[in-house]
Amino acid sequence: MSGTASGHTNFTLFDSLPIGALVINKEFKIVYWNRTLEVWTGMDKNRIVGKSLLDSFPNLNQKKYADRIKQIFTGAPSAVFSSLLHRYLIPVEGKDGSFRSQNSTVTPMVSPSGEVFAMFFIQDVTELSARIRDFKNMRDKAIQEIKERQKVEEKLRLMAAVIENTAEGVIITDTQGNIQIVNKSFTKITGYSEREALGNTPRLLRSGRHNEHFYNNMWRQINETGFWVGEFWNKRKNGSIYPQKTSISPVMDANGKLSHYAGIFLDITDRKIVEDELRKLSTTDGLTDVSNRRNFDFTLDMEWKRTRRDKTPLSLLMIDIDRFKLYNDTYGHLAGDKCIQSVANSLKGFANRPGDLVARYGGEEFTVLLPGVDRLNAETIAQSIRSHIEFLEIPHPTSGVSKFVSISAGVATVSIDHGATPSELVELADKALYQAKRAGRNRIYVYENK
Amino acid sequence: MAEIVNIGVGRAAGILNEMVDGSVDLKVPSIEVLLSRKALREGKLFGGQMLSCVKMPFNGSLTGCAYLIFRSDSALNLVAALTGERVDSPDLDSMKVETLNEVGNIIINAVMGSIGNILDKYIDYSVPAYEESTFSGILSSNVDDDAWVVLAHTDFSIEKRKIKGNILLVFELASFDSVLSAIDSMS
Repeated sequence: MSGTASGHTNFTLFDSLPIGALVINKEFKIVYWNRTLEVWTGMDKNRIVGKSLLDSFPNLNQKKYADRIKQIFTGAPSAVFSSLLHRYLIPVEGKDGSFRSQNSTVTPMVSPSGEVFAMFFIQDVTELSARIRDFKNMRDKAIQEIKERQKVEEKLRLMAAVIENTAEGVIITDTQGNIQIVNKSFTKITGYSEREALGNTPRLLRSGRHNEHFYNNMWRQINETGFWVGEFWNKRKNGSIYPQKTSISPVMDANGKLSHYAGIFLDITDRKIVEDELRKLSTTDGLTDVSNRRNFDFTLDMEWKRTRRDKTPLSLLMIDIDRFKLYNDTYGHLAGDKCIQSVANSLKGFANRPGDLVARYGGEEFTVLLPGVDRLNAETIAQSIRSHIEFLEIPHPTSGVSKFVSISAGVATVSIDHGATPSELVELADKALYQAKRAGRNRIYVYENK
Repeated sequence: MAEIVNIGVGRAAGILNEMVDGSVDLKVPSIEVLLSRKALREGKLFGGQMLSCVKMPFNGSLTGCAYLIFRSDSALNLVAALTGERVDSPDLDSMKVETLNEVGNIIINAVMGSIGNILDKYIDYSVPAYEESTFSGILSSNVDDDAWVVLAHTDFSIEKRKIKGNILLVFELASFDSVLSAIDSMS
């Protein structure tokens, strides 16, 4: 053990090093234990020097330590033990109870007497490792954040593309109504480019067809219920006015505070045209272009109510083409249709005030509704119609009533004093018509109330 | 000589086996005398592919250099196996140098320890260095290119982990004579 003693004196230099240092001899006996190791392990050098390293630290009995350290004594170069692969060589407990990370090097050293020693230098890399770990965590977090932001951006890009290319016009304004965003369809529908729209307000599009009251109501509903859907008229850049279906909703920011208004609208001009077409189809008789029976019933009802409200008279003519079946038998159905069309056109000429209505009531039966017309005037109109039809001189040799097509008409008039229901008016006119026919046709009969 | 290298390699394998969960397989080394370092460099050993290498020159009674060479993909697999990281972890690359340096240290030390033990002579080792290059790039050095060299060469592999490595010991011929005479004196 002479080498041990001589070695020991030489090693005291390592006491002042801030790294753990220890020396063992060939028999793995500890010959030196420095000040830092005393602090780290709490083991006094006087107690540990002379003892076996493997007995004191049994973890070093593993091949990956013992075998590599043994080689130091047979001429191998220094052995390195990275904290990446081995947490530590000498277990040192940290304040938090976990073991400190160490990078260690075991180096051969030959004493002047030729004895080989193995010197351990142990560096505490716990803080360094922690800093590296923190850095890696930070980096991972940053990468995660970037990925999430990319996802959000991707979503925003997608939504922007959808808004930009949707068939609906889109307007987004700030809380003051200044236009911030419009899409392609906005320009297509209104004719205003994005540049022209931005900074303006949607008042730019007002048609003048709605009063302030309409807009005030709309805004009140938006702010109270958070939504408004409806149709109104707007004006394009070229001055033309068009109907649009619009939904408007407020947009809140992350704190629930109003930040924008979003309007989505559709030009419904085409739809309006179709709707008008359908309305006409549903109220008009296809052959004659006068009202059909259904529209007559509806209008009669309306006029009946108005008559009662306004205390004005309401007259109804019930008209039938005389001997029409014989006309059909003589000239065929196509000619019959033409005859009905001629009569209908004539009737239109006698019912041309607003509110007047001519309707095809049955096959060759027509009604003429005359609001505000009293019995005397109704009788005059009926008489004019009858003579007008006869003067059309549509030949009808088999009629037996006249050489030409003729009509019979029943006239009924109601004032507020009598007639309880609309259907009673029809009934009275029908009775009058029957009387006219019974009296020989090509004449009118006025129902005389008692 | 092959036997001595084999003893060292076997010892290194034992250590690595303990560190990696998988059996490390080492082949019996081959020994070759080459006309020159240049000839070795121009040989077709690894083609032109990129290699990871831990290199430790030594001199004294023995002069030469020990190389532990992995193909780059094998190197990353080995680092993953030793550190327990996933093979696709972005941190693997930064751990590579430190980890492969220690692996090189384990294997080269084991082999040089075996040789040193027999020689009983002083060998001065340089600090191990990590390098990534082609084979000819790794072998370029200041040593006389025309000097004869002896090449001790062995393969090792960890089948389960798809790891393949090569250990090359390159001795200059003059120093190799002293190894051989030491071996002779033993018998």
